[in-house]
Amino acid sequence: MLGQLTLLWLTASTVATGRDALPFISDDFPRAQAEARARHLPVFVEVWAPW
Amino acid sequence: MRVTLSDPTLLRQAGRFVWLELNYDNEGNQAFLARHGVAWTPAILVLDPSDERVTASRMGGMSLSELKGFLEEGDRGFRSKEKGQVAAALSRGNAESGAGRFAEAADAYREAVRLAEPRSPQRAHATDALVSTLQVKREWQTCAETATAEAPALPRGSSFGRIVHVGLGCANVGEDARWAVAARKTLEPLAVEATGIDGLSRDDRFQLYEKLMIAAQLRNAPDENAKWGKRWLDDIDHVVPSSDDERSGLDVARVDAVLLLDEPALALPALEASERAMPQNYTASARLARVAEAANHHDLALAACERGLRHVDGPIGRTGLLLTKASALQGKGELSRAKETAQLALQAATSIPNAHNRSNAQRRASDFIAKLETK
Repeated sequence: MLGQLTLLWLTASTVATGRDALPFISDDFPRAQAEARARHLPVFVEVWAPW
Repeated sequence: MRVTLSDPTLLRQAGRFVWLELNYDNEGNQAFLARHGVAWTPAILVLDPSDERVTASRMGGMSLSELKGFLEEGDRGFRSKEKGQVAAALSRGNAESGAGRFAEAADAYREAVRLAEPRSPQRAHATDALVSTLQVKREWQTCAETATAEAPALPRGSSFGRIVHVGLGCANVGEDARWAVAARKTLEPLAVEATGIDGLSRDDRFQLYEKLMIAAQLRNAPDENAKWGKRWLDDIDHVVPSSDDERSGLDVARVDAVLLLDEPALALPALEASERAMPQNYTASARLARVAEAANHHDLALAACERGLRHVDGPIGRTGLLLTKASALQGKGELSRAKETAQLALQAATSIPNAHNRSNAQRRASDFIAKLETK
């Protein structure tokens, strides 16, 4: 499928960014699920690829 | 998408969700991806941890304002306080889509479209979800015809832009079929209009350029193809990337643009600069190699492949680099080394975790070897 993966990815390095500070759990759905159940929160999931 | 997620204003949302990032290539994530029907990236989901019910889902990038709306939708769905029939149908569609049941998701989104007021933002949102699901189901004609029927009356916003580029993409797949030509007649002018919408995400704008280029090629309009290609490249060149992720994303678009323009050499200086800026990033070498090979610069392609192969860390990347290397060797007339390299690519492809990607990569490698053997 043409272009389906044509997909896209601030400047002072001293400025904290959301990604620096949003507490992302990496590659561990069971841990995220357990934490979300305990805190009564929904899970936000970002699926990404290195390519 | 990763750039959007880096926006500091999102910090206010930190305590509303548990945040999880999943690498599509990681073998340990495959069961989750299969369970939720995730077939490409970026894919964003919000789900209820008690039963994995998806309360919001999006395949593709989002602007910051779209992401904030998406987070509201996901949180609302989680708290299950929505009363409206349209919202309930949308929520059901999201849950079905998130579980990989796309036929049921399309039925629910269709009901949401039917229930929503004509010309309303809700109708645009429901149509956006419906055409995207039809695209996933590869129902090209229904996708194109739904976009054609709904888009003209919808409010001009980001949903409109997506409906138009998804619908036009589906029509492009239909090539010269009568339904496809008829759909393009309506959708092409709307896509041109959509390129002028404020607040459209960069990804959606680039998708519009791409679909307009393909549509122009299908009606043998090289000047139109060139016009959109140059505008796309101009937009890319006006962005100063602030991170490696953003630089990579822009280069992915640059490659698509120059290949559709059939002028691959145009991207070589920028791709060489990106490789120098990201020396450990194999994807930068892979993009340079692919475009150099398309421009018949076989030695440049081979050297970039070798650099990429020193840093590659997964079977998808390895397979792609080996196939480009095989093609460059073939271009130099080194047929037996080309065949050996393609066989290594075939071997690497067997380790790709996702069955669909594995099968595609194996077919590409096998086809390459078969063609070499007939020479």
